[in-house]
Amino acid sequence: MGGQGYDGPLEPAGECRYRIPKSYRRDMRVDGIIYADERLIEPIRSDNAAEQVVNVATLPGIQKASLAMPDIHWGYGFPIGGVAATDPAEGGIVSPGGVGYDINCGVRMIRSDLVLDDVGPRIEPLLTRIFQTVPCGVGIGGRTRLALSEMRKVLREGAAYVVRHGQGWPEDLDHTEARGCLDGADPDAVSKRAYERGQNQVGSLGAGNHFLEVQVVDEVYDPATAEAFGVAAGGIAFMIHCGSRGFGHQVCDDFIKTMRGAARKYGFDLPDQQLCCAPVESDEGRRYLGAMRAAANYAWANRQALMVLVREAVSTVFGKSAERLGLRLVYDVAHNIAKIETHDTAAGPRPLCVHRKGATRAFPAGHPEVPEAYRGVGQPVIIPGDMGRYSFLLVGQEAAMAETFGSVCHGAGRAMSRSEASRRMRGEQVRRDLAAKGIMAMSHSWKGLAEEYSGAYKDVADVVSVVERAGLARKVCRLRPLGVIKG
Amino acid sequence: MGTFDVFDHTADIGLRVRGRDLPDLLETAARATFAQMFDDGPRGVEVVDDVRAVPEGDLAGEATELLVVWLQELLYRFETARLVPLEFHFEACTPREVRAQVGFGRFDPGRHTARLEVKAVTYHELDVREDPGGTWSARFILDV
Repeated sequence: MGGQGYDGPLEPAGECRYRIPKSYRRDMRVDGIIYADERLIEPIRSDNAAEQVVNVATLPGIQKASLAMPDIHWGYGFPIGGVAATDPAEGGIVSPGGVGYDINCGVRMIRSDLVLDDVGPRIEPLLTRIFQTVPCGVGIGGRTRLALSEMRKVLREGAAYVVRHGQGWPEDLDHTEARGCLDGADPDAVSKRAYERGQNQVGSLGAGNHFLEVQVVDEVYDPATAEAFGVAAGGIAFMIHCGSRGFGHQVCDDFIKTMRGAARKYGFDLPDQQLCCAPVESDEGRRYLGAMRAAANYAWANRQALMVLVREAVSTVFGKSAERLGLRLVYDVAHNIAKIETHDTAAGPRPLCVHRKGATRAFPAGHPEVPEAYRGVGQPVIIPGDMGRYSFLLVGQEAAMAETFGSVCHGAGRAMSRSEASRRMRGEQVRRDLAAKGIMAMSHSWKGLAEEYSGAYKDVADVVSVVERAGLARKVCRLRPLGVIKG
Repeated sequence: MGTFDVFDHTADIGLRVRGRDLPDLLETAARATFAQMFDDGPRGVEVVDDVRAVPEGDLAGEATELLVVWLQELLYRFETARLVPLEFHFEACTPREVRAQVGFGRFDPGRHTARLEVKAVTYHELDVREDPGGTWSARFILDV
């Protein structure tokens, strides 16, 4: 861990909930609520994340509480795992730090008709083929460089642009959050540099904690919902974790400059420069939201293009079309984003600006934004774990709407810094340990692999257990990795 | 030549940098940042280019902003042209402006090994200061 730690109040506030009362610091406008249990709350105390929950509670227009999911850890500005909703009608702000540099970083999960017996003996050629097909690693762009005019279409249309060019199936869009496109994207609010950085990166994975995994469904907790999502025990799935690449990073960089000026202009006294912000209903706020939506759409186009490459690689190895292999998208979720959504408040249903910084939307059954095919059961919520253990597929529940603006955790959450991880582990050892568990790993950097080893993360089962016990989402199935590609 | 060390940050990378003067601080900060990205990076200068970093608007003259803008300039060149800064010749360097001739090596994925992508230099707990005696130090966190 790192940082100074937190020695302020954390009052038990019901099952898996801890409250930081707004009396703790004079500038807090609302309480802080951290979802955790006794096992997870101690490591949360040991870094700066809880203090960051307090800082977020000071933001103008914040509603209900500054929320943190059980995978919370020290970020910059907002904690990773933070959720904050502001009311534009009450001067509520939007903050680039509440979204992060990797705008619309997210996860998509693809199911298949393949089973463990098909893939187990062929994991090496399969993973090698995917590794060769999907551009990944530091400084590696996609297969094509888009003209600026085409980039503008990507920014407006998102995943639909990729599908319209024959890459993927129309039903992919039905199974993507917001159908892979936020309305209100403004390509004119995006800088020349962002265009330059993004032109050749659609369809590339990047590096760091971004990954691509071949997984097997090894435990089903809710067979009926699993069936609705098209997954069953023993089935093979593919998971892609990636975002808006250099395009989104540049948009965030650009608007943090704008917002630092805006925060002074609007007289905001902020406890952390990285929380710089402007009212949603201001020129700066509107321009940021326009550019952020463009970056979110870029990320959905990127993940769509990556999925098409995975389908291509799997088809080649098994000698069958993606359709015949049943390589259908289960769902795609964003976990770094700000969206205008309608939620219940003390004044009734209101459009709020919901920041999810390392948090996943988790809408329940019946919500109009849940795809029609899943509306009877609820939104699929994809929670990746670490590369040596497992990931989970959950389904959104009503309590999330009532308490967390329809949000849950986004992953395991780091438990250890990268430098600590590489002090403890060497890449070759990590590869051997994974192989002993039947997991094949490929990466451009052994040291990078060491930094991502299992022990550097919390056990995602503990995180998901908290979310389930708090009633925010329910477990559907668990997925065990067979093959891992790290950029 | 300045010095740097890495401090633990749960998700990202924290750097503490010290330089004998402001140019030395900026050079060392650049070396420290790019050292996080490679296991085995380029070593020979292939391209020399002018780099200018100027904090704008209300932020003009802030040394913290100068550091961020300087590193952003270099990261932009890496991302768009795979250029890695190796040698630095400063022509002007004040908190208001830095102008330098920078010698770059070119990253070649076939020959070099990269480890991490630096997404950005964050403002969280960012600190740049002139210390008593005229040396400079900085502390910043990279989003990776």
